[in-house]
Amino acid sequence: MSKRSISDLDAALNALEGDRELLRRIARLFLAQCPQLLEEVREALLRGDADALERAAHKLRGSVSNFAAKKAHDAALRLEQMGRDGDLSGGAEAQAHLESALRELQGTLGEFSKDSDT
Amino acid sequence: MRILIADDEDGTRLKLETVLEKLGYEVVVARDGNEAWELLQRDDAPALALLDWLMPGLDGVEVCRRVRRSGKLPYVYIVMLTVKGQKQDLVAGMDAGADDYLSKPFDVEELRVRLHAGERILALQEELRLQATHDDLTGVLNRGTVLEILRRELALVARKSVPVAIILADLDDFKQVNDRHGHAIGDTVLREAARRLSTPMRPYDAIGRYGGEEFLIVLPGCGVDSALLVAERVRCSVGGRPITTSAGDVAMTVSLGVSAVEKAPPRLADELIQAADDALYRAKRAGRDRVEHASNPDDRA
Repeated sequence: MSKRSISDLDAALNALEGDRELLRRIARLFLAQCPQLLEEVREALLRGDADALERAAHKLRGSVSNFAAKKAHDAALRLEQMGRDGDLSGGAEAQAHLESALRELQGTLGEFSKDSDT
Repeated sequence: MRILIADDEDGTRLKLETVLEKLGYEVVVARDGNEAWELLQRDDAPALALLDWLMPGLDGVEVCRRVRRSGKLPYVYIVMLTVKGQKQDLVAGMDAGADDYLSKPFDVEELRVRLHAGERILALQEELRLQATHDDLTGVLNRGTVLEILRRELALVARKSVPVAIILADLDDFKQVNDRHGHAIGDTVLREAARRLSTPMRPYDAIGRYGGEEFLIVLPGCGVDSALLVAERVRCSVGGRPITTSAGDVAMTVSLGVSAVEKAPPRLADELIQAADDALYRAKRAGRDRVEHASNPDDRA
Protein backbone atom coordinates (compact mmCIF):
# COMPACT_ATOMS: atom_id res chain seq x y z
CA MET A 1 0.00 0.00 0.00
CA SER A 2 1.34 3.42 -0.87
CA LYS A 3 1.30 6.15 1.75
CA ARG A 4 -1.19 8.08 -0.32
CA SER A 5 -3.75 5.33 -0.46
CA ILE A 6 -3.46 4.64 3.26
CA SER A 7 -4.35 8.23 4.06
CA ASP A 8 -7.19 8.09 1.52
CA LEU A 9 -8.77 5.14 3.26
CA ASP A 10 -8.25 6.80 6.62
CA ALA A 11 -10.39 9.70 5.43
CA ALA A 12 -13.05 7.29 4.21
CA LEU A 13 -12.91 5.48 7.52
CA ASN A 14 -13.25 8.72 9.48
CA ALA A 15 -16.32 9.59 7.48
CA LEU A 16 -17.84 6.34 8.70
CA GLU A 17 -16.78 7.07 12.27
CA GLY A 18 -14.23 4.27 12.15
CA ASP A 19 -16.62 1.52 11.07
CA ARG A 20 -14.03 -0.73 9.37
CA GLU A 21 -16.50 -3.52 8.81
CA LEU A 22 -18.88 -1.27 6.90
CA LEU A 23 -16.06 0.15 4.79
CA ARG A 24 -14.92 -3.39 4.08
CA ARG A 25 -18.39 -4.38 2.91
CA ILE A 26 -18.62 -1.31 0.66
CA ALA A 27 -15.13 -2.10 -0.67
CA ARG A 28 -16.06 -5.71 -1.50
CA LEU A 29 -19.19 -4.52 -3.26
CA PHE A 30 -17.17 -2.03 -5.25
CA LEU A 31 -14.52 -4.59 -6.21
CA ALA A 32 -17.24 -6.90 -7.48
CA GLN A 33 -18.91 -4.18 -9.53
CA CYS A 34 -15.96 -2.11 -10.69
CA PRO A 35 -15.30 -4.12 -13.88
CA GLN A 36 -18.89 -3.70 -14.99
CA LEU A 37 -18.93 0.03 -14.19
CA LEU A 38 -15.71 0.50 -16.12
CA GLU A 39 -17.05 -1.55 -19.00
CA GLU A 40 -20.02 0.81 -19.28
CA VAL A 41 -17.65 3.75 -19.57
CA ARG A 42 -15.60 1.96 -22.23
CA GLU A 43 -18.64 1.01 -24.27
CA ALA A 44 -20.07 4.51 -24.14
CA LEU A 45 -16.77 5.90 -25.41
CA LEU A 46 -16.61 3.24 -28.10
CA ARG A 47 -20.08 4.08 -29.32
CA GLY A 48 -19.43 7.80 -28.96
CA ASP A 49 -22.57 7.99 -26.80
CA ALA A 50 -22.14 11.16 -24.72
CA ASP A 51 -25.26 10.67 -22.57
CA ALA A 52 -24.33 7.11 -21.69
CA LEU A 53 -20.80 8.25 -20.88
CA GLU A 54 -22.06 10.95 -18.54
CA ARG A 55 -24.27 8.45 -16.71
CA ALA A 56 -21.69 5.68 -16.51
CA ALA A 57 -18.90 8.00 -15.37
CA HIS A 58 -21.19 9.63 -12.85
CA LYS A 59 -22.13 6.31 -11.33
CA LEU A 60 -18.50 5.28 -11.14
CA ARG A 61 -17.67 8.60 -9.52
CA GLY A 62 -20.39 8.05 -6.93
CA SER A 63 -18.92 4.62 -6.18
CA VAL A 64 -15.34 5.74 -5.71
CA SER A 65 -16.43 8.76 -3.65
CA ASN A 66 -17.08 6.34 -0.78
CA PHE A 67 -13.34 5.77 -0.53
CA ALA A 68 -12.22 9.40 -0.76
CA ALA A 69 -10.15 8.26 -3.76
CA LYS A 70 -9.30 11.57 -5.34
CA LYS A 71 -7.45 10.37 -8.42
CA ALA A 72 -10.16 7.96 -9.52
CA HIS A 73 -12.82 10.51 -8.66
CA ASP A 74 -11.22 13.26 -10.73
CA ALA A 75 -10.65 10.94 -13.67
CA ALA A 76 -14.30 9.90 -13.62
CA LEU A 77 -15.38 13.52 -13.26
CA ARG A 78 -13.41 14.45 -16.35
CA LEU A 79 -15.20 11.79 -18.38
CA GLU A 80 -18.53 12.79 -16.94
CA GLN A 81 -17.98 16.38 -18.03
CA MET A 82 -16.93 15.26 -21.49
CA GLY A 83 -20.20 13.39 -21.71
CA ARG A 84 -22.15 16.39 -20.53
CA ASP A 85 -20.39 18.72 -22.96
CA GLY A 86 -20.81 16.22 -25.78
CA ASP A 87 -17.11 16.49 -26.58
CA LEU A 88 -15.44 13.07 -26.38
CA SER A 89 -12.25 14.08 -28.18
CA GLY A 90 -9.94 13.48 -25.21
CA GLY A 91 -11.77 10.30 -24.30
CA ALA A 92 -9.01 7.75 -24.84
CA GLU A 93 -6.54 9.60 -22.66
CA ALA A 94 -9.12 10.22 -19.93
CA GLN A 95 -10.06 6.57 -20.01
CA ALA A 96 -6.43 5.56 -19.57
CA HIS A 97 -6.17 7.86 -16.53
CA LEU A 98 -9.31 6.37 -15.08
CA GLU A 99 -8.15 2.80 -15.60
CA SER A 100 -4.81 3.47 -13.98
CA ALA A 101 -6.44 5.20 -11.00
CA LEU A 102 -8.91 2.36 -10.64
CA ARG A 103 -6.15 -0.26 -10.71
CA GLU A 104 -4.46 1.55 -7.86
CA LEU A 105 -7.72 1.83 -5.91
CA GLN A 106 -8.56 -1.82 -6.53
CA GLY A 107 -5.13 -2.78 -5.17
CA THR A 108 -5.65 -0.73 -2.02
CA LEU A 109 -9.17 -1.98 -1.47
CA GLY A 110 -8.15 -5.57 -2.22
CA GLU A 111 -5.61 -5.43 0.59
CA PHE A 112 -7.99 -3.67 2.93
CA SER A 113 -10.92 -5.98 2.33
CA LYS A 114 -8.75 -9.02 3.11
CA ASP A 115 -7.63 -7.63 6.49
CA SER A 116 -9.45 -8.82 9.54
CA ASP A 117 -10.41 -6.32 12.21
CA THR A 118 -7.55 -5.24 14.39
CA MET B 1 -38.78 7.74 12.00
CA ARG B 2 -38.97 6.30 8.48
CA ILE B 3 -36.57 7.51 5.83
CA LEU B 4 -36.41 6.80 2.11
CA ILE B 5 -33.06 6.45 0.37
CA ALA B 6 -33.01 6.46 -3.40
CA ASP B 7 -29.71 5.81 -5.14
CA ASP B 8 -28.82 3.60 -8.07
CA GLU B 9 -25.34 3.00 -6.73
CA ASP B 10 -25.04 -0.06 -4.51
CA GLY B 11 -22.11 1.11 -2.35
CA THR B 12 -23.80 4.37 -1.43
CA ARG B 13 -27.04 2.56 -0.65
CA LEU B 14 -25.23 0.06 1.55
CA LYS B 15 -23.46 2.89 3.35
CA LEU B 16 -26.62 4.94 3.87
CA GLU B 17 -28.72 1.99 4.91
CA THR B 18 -26.19 0.78 7.48
CA VAL B 19 -25.45 4.20 8.90
CA LEU B 20 -29.09 5.30 9.08
CA GLU B 21 -30.18 2.11 10.78
CA LYS B 22 -27.43 2.65 13.32
CA LEU B 23 -28.82 6.16 13.88
CA GLY B 24 -32.19 4.58 14.66
CA TYR B 25 -34.09 5.26 11.43
CA GLU B 26 -36.38 2.79 9.73
CA VAL B 27 -34.95 2.69 6.21
CA VAL B 28 -36.94 2.24 3.01
CA VAL B 29 -34.82 1.64 -0.10
CA ALA B 30 -35.41 2.60 -3.73
CA ARG B 31 -33.02 1.67 -6.53
CA ASP B 32 -34.13 4.30 -8.98
CA GLY B 33 -36.32 7.36 -9.31
CA ASN B 34 -39.47 5.54 -10.43
CA GLU B 35 -39.38 3.32 -7.39
CA ALA B 36 -38.82 6.37 -5.16
CA TRP B 37 -41.76 8.23 -6.68
CA GLU B 38 -43.98 5.17 -6.26
CA LEU B 39 -43.03 4.86 -2.57
CA LEU B 40 -43.50 8.57 -1.93
CA GLN B 41 -47.08 8.53 -3.24
CA ARG B 42 -48.21 5.95 -0.72
CA ASP B 43 -50.21 6.90 2.34
CA ASP B 44 -47.45 5.56 4.58
CA ALA B 45 -44.71 7.41 2.69
CA PRO B 46 -41.60 8.16 4.77
CA ALA B 47 -41.40 11.72 6.10
CA LEU B 48 -37.73 12.03 5.19
CA ALA B 49 -36.21 11.29 1.79
CA LEU B 50 -32.61 11.22 0.56
CA LEU B 51 -32.68 11.37 -3.24
CA ASP B 52 -29.71 10.92 -5.50
CA TRP B 53 -29.55 13.59 -8.17
CA LEU B 54 -28.73 11.40 -11.15
CA MET B 55 -30.63 8.11 -11.35
CA PRO B 56 -32.02 6.00 -14.17
CA GLY B 57 -35.68 6.61 -14.87
CA LEU B 58 -36.76 9.70 -12.99
CA ASP B 59 -33.87 11.67 -11.60
CA GLY B 60 -33.95 13.00 -8.05
CA VAL B 61 -34.93 16.50 -9.08
CA GLU B 62 -37.91 15.25 -11.07
CA VAL B 63 -39.05 13.09 -8.14
CA CYS B 64 -38.75 16.15 -5.90
CA ARG B 65 -40.70 18.31 -8.34
CA ARG B 66 -43.50 15.75 -8.54
CA VAL B 67 -43.77 15.42 -4.77
CA ARG B 68 -44.06 19.19 -4.41
CA ARG B 69 -46.51 19.53 -7.29
CA SER B 70 -48.74 16.85 -5.77
CA GLY B 71 -49.01 18.99 -2.63
CA LYS B 72 -48.63 15.83 -0.62
CA LEU B 73 -49.35 16.01 3.11
CA PRO B 74 -47.87 15.34 5.56
CA TYR B 75 -44.87 17.17 4.25
CA VAL B 76 -41.90 15.15 2.98
CA TYR B 77 -38.50 16.62 3.88
CA ILE B 78 -36.26 16.05 0.88
CA VAL B 79 -32.46 16.05 0.90
CA MET B 80 -30.76 15.84 -2.50
CA LEU B 81 -27.58 13.80 -2.77
CA THR B 82 -25.04 15.16 -5.19
CA VAL B 83 -21.48 14.28 -5.99
CA LYS B 84 -19.16 17.22 -5.49
CA GLY B 85 -18.75 19.56 -8.42
CA GLN B 86 -22.35 19.84 -9.55
CA LYS B 87 -23.18 23.36 -8.57
CA GLN B 88 -25.74 24.01 -11.31
CA ASP B 89 -27.46 20.74 -10.51
CA LEU B 90 -27.62 21.75 -6.92
CA VAL B 91 -29.35 25.01 -7.72
CA ALA B 92 -31.83 23.13 -9.91
CA GLY B 93 -32.47 20.69 -7.08
CA MET B 94 -33.20 23.40 -4.58
CA ASP B 95 -35.41 25.17 -7.13
CA ALA B 96 -37.40 21.97 -7.57
CA GLY B 97 -38.35 22.15 -3.90
CA ALA B 98 -35.60 20.22 -2.13
CA ASP B 99 -35.11 21.24 1.49
CA ASP B 100 -31.41 20.55 1.71
CA TYR B 101 -28.57 18.87 -0.09
CA LEU B 102 -25.65 16.71 0.85
CA SER B 103 -22.50 16.26 -1.21
CA LYS B 104 -20.98 12.82 -1.55
CA PRO B 105 -18.82 11.71 0.07
CA PHE B 106 -20.50 12.87 3.23
CA ASP B 107 -19.52 11.80 6.70
CA VAL B 108 -21.81 10.28 9.29
CA GLU B 109 -21.67 13.31 11.57
CA GLU B 110 -22.79 15.62 8.80
CA LEU B 111 -25.60 13.29 7.82
CA ARG B 112 -26.78 13.13 11.42
CA VAL B 113 -26.95 16.88 11.98
CA ARG B 114 -28.61 17.56 8.61
CA LEU B 115 -31.30 14.98 9.34
CA HIS B 116 -31.87 16.38 12.80
CA ALA B 117 -32.43 19.79 11.22
CA GLY B 118 -34.91 18.09 8.89
CA GLU B 119 -36.77 16.53 11.79
CA ARG B 120 -37.06 19.93 13.47
CA ILE B 121 -38.60 21.36 10.30
CA LEU B 122 -41.00 18.41 10.06
CA ALA B 123 -42.12 18.93 13.66
CA LEU B 124 -42.84 22.60 12.90
CA GLN B 125 -44.67 21.67 9.69
CA GLU B 126 -46.82 19.23 11.62
CA GLU B 127 -47.63 21.88 14.20
CA LEU B 128 -48.62 24.31 11.46
CA ARG B 129 -50.73 21.64 9.79
CA LEU B 130 -52.56 20.96 13.05
CA GLN B 131 -53.13 24.67 13.52
CA ALA B 132 -54.47 24.98 9.99
CA THR B 133 -56.90 22.09 10.31
CA HIS B 134 -58.08 22.35 13.92
CA ASP B 135 -60.16 24.78 15.92
CA ASP B 136 -57.99 26.69 18.40
CA LEU B 137 -60.49 26.78 21.21
CA THR B 138 -61.98 23.30 21.22
CA GLY B 139 -59.25 21.26 19.54
CA VAL B 140 -61.71 19.54 17.17
CA LEU B 141 -61.38 20.07 13.39
CA ASN B 142 -62.21 23.47 12.00
CA ARG B 143 -65.13 24.12 9.67
CA GLY B 144 -63.16 23.98 6.43
CA THR B 145 -61.51 20.68 7.28
CA VAL B 146 -64.62 18.84 8.42
CA LEU B 147 -66.49 20.03 5.29
CA GLU B 148 -63.61 18.76 3.18
CA ILE B 149 -63.89 15.36 4.86
CA LEU B 150 -67.64 15.31 4.24
CA ARG B 151 -67.14 16.06 0.55
CA ARG B 152 -64.57 13.27 0.31
CA GLU B 153 -66.95 10.80 1.95
CA LEU B 154 -69.80 11.87 -0.34
CA ALA B 155 -67.61 11.12 -3.33
CA LEU B 156 -67.17 7.60 -1.92
CA VAL B 157 -70.95 7.14 -1.70
CA ALA B 158 -71.10 7.60 -5.44
CA ARG B 159 -68.10 5.38 -6.20
CA LYS B 160 -68.55 2.54 -3.75
CA SER B 161 -72.13 2.81 -2.50
CA VAL B 162 -70.95 3.25 1.08
CA PRO B 163 -73.47 5.24 3.13
CA VAL B 164 -72.50 8.33 5.09
CA ALA B 165 -74.39 10.13 7.83
CA ILE B 166 -73.93 13.48 9.49
CA ILE B 167 -75.04 14.94 12.78
CA LEU B 168 -75.42 18.63 13.32
CA ALA B 169 -75.20 19.29 17.06
CA ASP B 170 -76.03 22.63 18.63
CA LEU B 171 -75.56 23.39 22.33
CA ASP B 172 -78.85 24.47 23.92
CA ASP B 173 -79.16 28.05 25.19
CA PHE B 174 -75.43 28.51 25.09
CA LYS B 175 -75.80 32.28 24.81
CA GLN B 176 -77.15 32.34 28.34
CA VAL B 177 -73.91 30.82 29.65
CA ASN B 178 -71.92 33.64 28.12
CA ASP B 179 -74.42 36.26 29.31
CA ARG B 180 -74.57 34.93 32.84
CA HIS B 181 -70.96 33.83 33.48
CA GLY B 182 -68.86 35.66 30.89
CA HIS B 183 -66.88 34.42 27.89
CA ALA B 184 -64.11 32.71 29.86
CA ILE B 185 -66.63 30.34 31.45
CA GLY B 186 -68.37 30.04 28.08
CA ASP B 187 -65.09 28.88 26.58
CA THR B 188 -64.62 26.28 29.30
CA VAL B 189 -68.10 24.92 28.64
CA LEU B 190 -67.48 24.84 24.87
CA ARG B 191 -64.22 22.94 25.31
CA GLU B 192 -65.76 20.37 27.63
CA ALA B 193 -68.85 20.01 25.43
CA ALA B 194 -66.61 19.39 22.39
CA ARG B 195 -64.75 16.72 24.36
CA ARG B 196 -68.00 15.03 25.36
CA LEU B 197 -69.33 15.23 21.80
CA SER B 198 -66.20 13.41 20.61
CA THR B 199 -66.34 10.63 23.20
CA PRO B 200 -68.86 8.29 21.49
CA MET B 201 -67.10 8.54 18.14
CA ARG B 202 -65.12 5.87 16.28
CA PRO B 203 -61.53 6.60 15.20
CA TYR B 204 -62.54 7.22 11.58
CA ASP B 205 -65.43 9.54 12.41
CA ALA B 206 -64.76 13.26 12.18
CA ILE B 207 -66.01 16.16 14.24
CA GLY B 208 -65.53 19.83 13.49
CA ARG B 209 -66.69 23.14 14.89
CA TYR B 210 -69.24 24.30 12.34
CA GLY B 211 -70.21 27.59 13.94
CA GLY B 212 -70.13 29.29 17.35
CA GLU B 213 -71.65 26.48 19.43
CA GLU B 214 -72.55 24.22 16.54
CA PHE B 215 -70.63 21.06 15.63
CA LEU B 216 -70.70 18.86 12.54
CA ILE B 217 -70.05 15.13 12.95
CA VAL B 218 -69.33 12.96 9.91
CA LEU B 219 -69.98 9.22 10.24
CA PRO B 220 -68.57 7.26 7.29
CA GLY B 221 -70.30 3.97 6.60
CA CYS B 222 -73.33 4.84 8.76
CA GLY B 223 -76.94 4.80 7.60
CA VAL B 224 -79.73 6.68 9.37
CA ASP B 225 -80.37 4.01 12.01
CA SER B 226 -76.85 3.72 13.33
CA ALA B 227 -76.40 7.50 13.08
CA LEU B 228 -79.47 7.95 15.31
CA LEU B 229 -77.89 5.61 17.88
CA VAL B 230 -74.66 7.61 17.81
CA ALA B 231 -76.61 10.87 18.11
CA GLU B 232 -78.45 9.54 21.14
CA ARG B 233 -75.16 8.55 22.78
CA VAL B 234 -73.77 12.00 22.01
CA ARG B 235 -76.83 13.62 23.57
CA CYS B 236 -76.39 11.60 26.78
CA SER B 237 -72.64 12.20 26.81
CA VAL B 238 -73.10 16.00 26.76
CA GLY B 239 -76.15 16.34 29.02
CA GLY B 240 -75.50 13.47 31.42
CA ARG B 241 -74.03 15.63 34.12
CA PRO B 242 -73.32 19.35 34.56
CA ILE B 243 -70.05 20.84 33.36
CA THR B 244 -67.79 21.92 36.19
CA THR B 245 -66.32 25.40 35.83
CA SER B 246 -64.61 27.90 38.15
CA ALA B 247 -68.03 29.60 38.43
CA GLY B 248 -69.66 26.39 39.60
CA ASP B 249 -71.56 23.68 37.76
CA VAL B 250 -73.23 24.64 34.49
CA ALA B 251 -76.00 22.43 33.12
CA MET B 252 -75.69 21.93 29.39
CA THR B 253 -77.68 19.95 26.84
CA VAL B 254 -77.47 19.54 23.10
CA SER B 255 -79.97 19.26 20.25
CA LEU B 256 -79.11 17.14 17.27
CA GLY B 257 -80.22 16.81 13.68
CA VAL B 258 -79.30 13.71 11.69
CA SER B 259 -79.29 13.12 7.95
CA ALA B 260 -77.76 10.39 5.80
CA VAL B 261 -77.15 9.31 2.25
CA GLU B 262 -77.34 5.57 1.76
CA LYS B 263 -76.69 5.19 -1.95
CA ALA B 264 -76.11 7.00 -5.20
CA PRO B 265 -77.05 9.43 -6.65
CA PRO B 266 -74.79 11.46 -4.42
CA ARG B 267 -75.97 14.54 -2.65
CA LEU B 268 -74.07 17.71 -2.29
CA ALA B 269 -72.66 18.44 1.14
CA ASP B 270 -74.86 21.53 1.27
CA GLU B 271 -78.04 19.50 0.73
CA LEU B 272 -77.14 16.98 3.39
CA ILE B 273 -76.28 19.72 5.87
CA GLN B 274 -79.48 21.59 5.06
CA ALA B 275 -81.48 18.44 5.80
CA ALA B 276 -79.66 17.95 9.11
CA ASP B 277 -80.17 21.61 9.93
CA ASP B 278 -83.92 21.30 9.30
CA ALA B 279 -84.02 18.27 11.62
CA LEU B 280 -82.02 20.21 14.21
CA TYR B 281 -84.53 23.07 13.99
CA ARG B 282 -87.34 20.59 14.68
CA ALA B 283 -85.43 19.27 17.69
CA LYS B 284 -85.09 22.80 19.05
CA ARG B 285 -88.77 23.58 18.49
CA ALA B 286 -89.80 20.32 20.15
CA GLY B 287 -88.14 21.36 23.40
CA ARG B 288 -84.35 20.86 22.93
CA ASP B 289 -82.12 18.08 24.37
CA ARG B 290 -83.32 15.65 21.72
CA VAL B 291 -82.49 14.02 18.40
CA GLU B 292 -84.45 14.47 15.18
CA HIS B 293 -83.71 13.09 11.77
CA ALA B 294 -84.48 13.88 8.18
CA SER B 295 -86.14 10.66 7.01
CA ASN B 296 -85.58 11.85 3.48
CA PRO B 297 -82.91 14.48 2.89
CA ASP B 298 -85.26 16.11 0.42
CA ASP B 299 -87.69 16.88 3.24
CA ARG B 300 -87.78 20.51 4.11
CA ALA B 301 -89.33 21.13 7.52
